[in-house]
Amino acid sequence: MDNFLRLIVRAQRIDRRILYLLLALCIAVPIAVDVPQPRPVVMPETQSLYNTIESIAKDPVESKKLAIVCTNYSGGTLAENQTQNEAIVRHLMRLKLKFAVFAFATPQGRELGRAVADKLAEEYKYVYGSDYVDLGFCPPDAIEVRLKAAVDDLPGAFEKDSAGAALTSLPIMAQVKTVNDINLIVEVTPSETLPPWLQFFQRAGEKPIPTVYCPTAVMGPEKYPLLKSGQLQGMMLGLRGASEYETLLGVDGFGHRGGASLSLSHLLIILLILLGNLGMFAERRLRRQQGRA
Amino acid sequence: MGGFFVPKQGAELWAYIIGAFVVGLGILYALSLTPKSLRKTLIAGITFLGGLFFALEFFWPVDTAGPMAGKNFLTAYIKPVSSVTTILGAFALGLGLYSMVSIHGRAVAKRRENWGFSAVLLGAILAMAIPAIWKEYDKSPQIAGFYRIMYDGGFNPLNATMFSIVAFYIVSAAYRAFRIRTVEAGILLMSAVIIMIGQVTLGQLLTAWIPNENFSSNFRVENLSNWILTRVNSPAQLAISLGIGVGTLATALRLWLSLERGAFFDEEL
Amino acid sequence: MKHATWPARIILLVLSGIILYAILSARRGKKLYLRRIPGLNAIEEAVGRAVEMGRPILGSIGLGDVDVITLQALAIISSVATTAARFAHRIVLPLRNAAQVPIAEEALRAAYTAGGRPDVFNEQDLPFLSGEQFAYAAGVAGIIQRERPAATFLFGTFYAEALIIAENANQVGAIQIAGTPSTTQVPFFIAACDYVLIGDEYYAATAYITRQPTLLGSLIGQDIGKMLLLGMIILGVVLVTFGSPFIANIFGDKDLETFAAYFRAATGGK
Repeated sequence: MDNFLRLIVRAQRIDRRILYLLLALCIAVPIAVDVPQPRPVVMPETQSLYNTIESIAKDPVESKKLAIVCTNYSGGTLAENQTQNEAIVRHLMRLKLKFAVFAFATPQGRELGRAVADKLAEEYKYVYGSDYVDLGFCPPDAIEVRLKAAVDDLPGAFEKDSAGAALTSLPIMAQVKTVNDINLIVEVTPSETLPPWLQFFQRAGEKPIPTVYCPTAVMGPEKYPLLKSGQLQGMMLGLRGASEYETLLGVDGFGHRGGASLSLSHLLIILLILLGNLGMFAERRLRRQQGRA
Repeated sequence: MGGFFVPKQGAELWAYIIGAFVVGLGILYALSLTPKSLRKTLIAGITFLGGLFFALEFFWPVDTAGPMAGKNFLTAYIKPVSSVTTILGAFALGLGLYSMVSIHGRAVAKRRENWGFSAVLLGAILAMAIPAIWKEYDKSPQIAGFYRIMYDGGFNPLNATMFSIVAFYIVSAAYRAFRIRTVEAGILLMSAVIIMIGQVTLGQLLTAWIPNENFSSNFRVENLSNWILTRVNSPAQLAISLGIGVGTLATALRLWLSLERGAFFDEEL
Repeated sequence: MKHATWPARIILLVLSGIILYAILSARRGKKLYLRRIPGLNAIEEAVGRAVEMGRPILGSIGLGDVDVITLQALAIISSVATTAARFAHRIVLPLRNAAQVPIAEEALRAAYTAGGRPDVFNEQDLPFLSGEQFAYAAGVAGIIQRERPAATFLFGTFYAEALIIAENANQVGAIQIAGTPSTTQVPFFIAACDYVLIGDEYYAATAYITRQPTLLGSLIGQDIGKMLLLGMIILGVVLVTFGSPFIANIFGDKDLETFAAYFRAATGGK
């Protein structure tokens, strides 16, 4: 028994590089080897996001308006945010909804958001300028005033698309004048970029604009209260949320494929925490025994 | 609002740019001549006016009907102020670039310790900036291809690598720090384990045999996890947000009215 | 909300009035009590340890723009710098936002002057690293590994880089004090740092360290404001429970109510 306790205590001093290697294997192996796995249970916040977009498409007036897909992520969070973005854009395109790509947290966000739209446009026969538009990048310091300006004059506030074409010259913008011509705000982000939309845009028009949130898993818990208050109509939480959304759409994207890595890595962390605690208890017990001796 | 804020073209645009440059230099010169005692008052005054614009625009009652419906007398100036803020942000980027190049340039020139890192950094800036700017003027596929190699092949993977390091650090930090030393720590650990299991399909399988309806659904791990997130986490988040919100208001008031007496607010400039 | 509604106007006016009144009372010399905040008591200890070990102190004011949170962070780091200056000790403060550079330089120069050693201040210790989140994180991690600071002070807005910075500093054995209003990063700081300021303790920090009447008064005003809001919440809950939606009607938003239906429908009406 004492030997076992000593072994557990010694495991506490395990080199951190071994832990890192274990984690790397848990993540990489399931991606390299396609592991079959069940579909996840769809959480209410994901279902609500899906329902929101579906109900916009069914509404004859709302479905003619423009959705804003704000892609505020960079290369660092591609696994989560790009997967979420792909799921959302795919859903919008399936329902023939028009949308604009936009970013204000990082210029990379606009490029990445645009790349997803361009890639899926081929599949769904979407045409740039008629079915979707790129509103470009706005420096983060100026986003609040830019959104305030866009409330009354959206094409005036953004002026040109990312290629420098006047927004007013694009067919998609023909009917888009003010905040009242927007039917959905999608915020795909790894950081705190939701507030400007809620403070200055969501409720600036005749009626509030449905707003949905696609954060990285770590950013989500902070925003759960907004679902109950009605300020958010749905949330796609990290890769897990993307996987649920892919289930609703019936597609096999990275959300589903990455699920096995997520499962194994979570399991590893739980096991390590338990091992660490066992080590602590074992150390205490050994110390008590030595004290008695 | 007049024609001053309307975009200009051609010679008029250049006249405005040169005019703005000259006026800007004039203001800077005038500021440099201002006595030190007056500078503090000036800064406080400008801070107050800047804050006043946004506060008034937000709080001043708006017209309910007519051509100014939903607007007040300041709303029209929001757009030019937006442009000014964007331009000021761009100037700040120049300042940052200057700071970076001067620190690392000096390190390379004087062969300070670790100057090699500084040289790599300056080289990386040039390697990324040159093709990024060049591709705006030269639409040839070679330049675009080179830019994509730097961006998709270099920048993106480096960014993703740094973020992925978080996962490794979570493992070592959790292994080292997550110890049940108190009852509270025990409750925290239990909640964490439930949430971690409830987030992944493998964990959800553990309780998939329990019917997901009526009372029994409460024992499924994903529902337990969701309960913790929406019923325990949410109120705590709201309470913290409330405190932070009031704190932000107080700090903003102190800054706006220059009441702050922090190390950098009350020193002679 | 593009413009304030009447309830928002009234609440903000009342809260601002309370805070300003408390500040003015404190400035007139009213004695005020502040509870102990362990993380802030440890500042001297951390600085002292760095001096003993002859290794620098590392600060970070996070990823924020030049906003209230960042300025608060800078005020805290400045207080640390004043303490460090008394021992003629170095603080390295890598920056992420270009606009922070002149303000941070000015603040730390003033702090070193206040500590009596303006000659120790060096602009090179406040490098602008990058506007990119992870490039900044990599830069700070590099500085930590090269300079091996004995103490780190991490205050401001943080995201995923919080753990990268804190865990690197942990690896070099630094004593760490952190504070952020970014609630999502608090668990990571707790796992990797020695002391963490949570929630609005962050805003109490400068008042606690400097004991300046303006800041103490502001803190008391904040607490009274919070009590007022809490009272309104409790009153609203009681009134709604007994069938009177008076307060709910004042602050409620009928449109948002309709909106919440999406989420209610998805949760099966719960």
